[in-house]
Amino acid sequence: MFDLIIVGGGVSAFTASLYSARRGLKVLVIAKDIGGQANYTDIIENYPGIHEIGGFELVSSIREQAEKWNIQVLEAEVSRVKSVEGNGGFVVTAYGKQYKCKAVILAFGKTPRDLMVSGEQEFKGKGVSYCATCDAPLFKNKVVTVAGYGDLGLDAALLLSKYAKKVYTLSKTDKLIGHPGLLKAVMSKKNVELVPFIQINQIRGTTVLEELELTDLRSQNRKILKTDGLFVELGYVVNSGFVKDLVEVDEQDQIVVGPDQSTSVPGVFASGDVTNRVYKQAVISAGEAATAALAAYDWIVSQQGSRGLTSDWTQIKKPRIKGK
Amino acid sequence: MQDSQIYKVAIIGSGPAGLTAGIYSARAGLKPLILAGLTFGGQLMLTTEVENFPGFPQGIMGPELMQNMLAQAERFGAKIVYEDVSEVDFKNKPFKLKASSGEFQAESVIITTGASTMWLGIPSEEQFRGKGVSSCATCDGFFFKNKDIIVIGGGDSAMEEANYLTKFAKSVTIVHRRDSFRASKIMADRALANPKISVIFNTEVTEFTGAEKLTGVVLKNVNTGETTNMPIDGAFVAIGHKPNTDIFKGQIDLDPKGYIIPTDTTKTNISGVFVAGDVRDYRYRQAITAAGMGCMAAMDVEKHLGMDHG
Repeated sequence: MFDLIIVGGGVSAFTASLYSARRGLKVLVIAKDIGGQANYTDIIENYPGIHEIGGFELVSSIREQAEKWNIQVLEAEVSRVKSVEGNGGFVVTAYGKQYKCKAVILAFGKTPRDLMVSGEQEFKGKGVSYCATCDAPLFKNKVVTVAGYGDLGLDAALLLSKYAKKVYTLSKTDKLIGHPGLLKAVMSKKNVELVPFIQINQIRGTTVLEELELTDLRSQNRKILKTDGLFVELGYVVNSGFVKDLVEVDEQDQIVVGPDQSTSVPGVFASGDVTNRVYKQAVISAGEAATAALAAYDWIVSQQGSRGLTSDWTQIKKPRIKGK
Repeated sequence: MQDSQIYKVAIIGSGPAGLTAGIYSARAGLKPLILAGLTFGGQLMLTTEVENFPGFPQGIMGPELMQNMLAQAERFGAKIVYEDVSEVDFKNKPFKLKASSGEFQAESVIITTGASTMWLGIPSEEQFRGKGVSSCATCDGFFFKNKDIIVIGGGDSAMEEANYLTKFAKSVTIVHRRDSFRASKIMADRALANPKISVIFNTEVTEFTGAEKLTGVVLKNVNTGETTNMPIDGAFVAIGHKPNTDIFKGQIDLDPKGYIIPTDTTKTNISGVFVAGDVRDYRYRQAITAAGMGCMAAMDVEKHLGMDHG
């Protein structure tokens, strides 16, 4: 039995684990991937107190800080969070195993949007990537393809052009859309080639990605593009499906929170990019996480009849004299 | 000297909330004015090592953290003025802020004035302040080398002060008026495990005694009413904080304790005036929560100015 289970592996999740572990709680962090949204950022220069830091580096340093307070970290995907009848806490299911706890913090952020094409699930991590920042160096001197939208796709193409032998950028029209400066930079790269009027039908390979089956939108002809990597850059969504039947979410599937990061279910808190707060920044995620952790601590001790934020030991306990 | 410029945004205060608001609004090109006060940096300047600011696994000294944030804000183009604001006028736009060198004008304001140490408020306290009675272990701790001292309070800051003071003092006694600590378990456990620290619960300090300098305190047991004299060389008061909102009275809505209550995210009842940090938060009061709110306030300002000017 854990006091607190935190679902997520980014800035918010590890900050929540730091604050709750420092309160003496027994904490388990369950993360599908380590780094979260920060992984998609090269250099963060607006995190207060740190001149410049890589996104993954920031998350790693917060994790290291939290691990000093004996948190446990499990790399797994959570499929269900269930409330146990009669204030019995919660059961969190990850990769078929169940973990019990008194309170939950949902801090699993956002996940990259899928292309929704046949073969995509099969080749995720086997040539199909959603993070150019993370994976571009793995495609040195290889042929890669970018299926992206706007600046996200252009950014990825520009970065990949530094590593890959050839970068195909797919477009449903005869041009790419995005920031003019960025567009110019991408088009000036000799190894970047625009593939116009195209749509992906299927992602194919044996053990790893080998080729894409494409449709030419003008002629409706099929063609094959040999590629070692496919970078899907379509933005991010909140994957809150597994908690939809538990907590209230808004029309964008974001978890609705109150000022103390509480959700519609007592004992369940949420922080970071997964919430319905408008602004998404690392420092905001961290701030919300500290609040969520302290609120979760308060909730746990109040369930035990304590008055909250009070030490659980007392050396001298004399009855208070009433009326004086 | 009069600064005739109308700033897009003026930030009052320079703790984690104010400087983070400064970093974000400067990076957004708003050229903020930060009225940092005569002493910049807020409460973290009075702390030693900060262990829980996310991103610093080895910890960081409070003043160093604040210096980093200040440098970041300046690098992005914030203007820092080291003056206290004595008066504000939120009745008309542009808002007016009076400081020692004159009046500053701004289209929007972010209030991040934080909170200050509370004192016991007993008459002899004033008399011995700086002569044995202090509220800042970091500032005054080393004056008490090999001395016997007390720390008054039962929260996290009392535990932190007590622990820190054992580096210098011969003995540290925590005097707390309740029967248990409000401090977090980790802080309390650490204080208790320290062989130099002892604790007296259910007890208040009713008087500071001495001639030139503090030499003792009068303690009163809150259950029995019994009083005792305790000889000591120093006393550190760590009983809590109050919001720094005196200059905003009559200009903006305050709650009964003087905190500014936001209406939505960081907005206040005055359109164009935003609030972040300990001045609005009496519950969690963490550097990182203040910084997060400072960031939100800067983004709220950006949105507000965008709407005003199309």
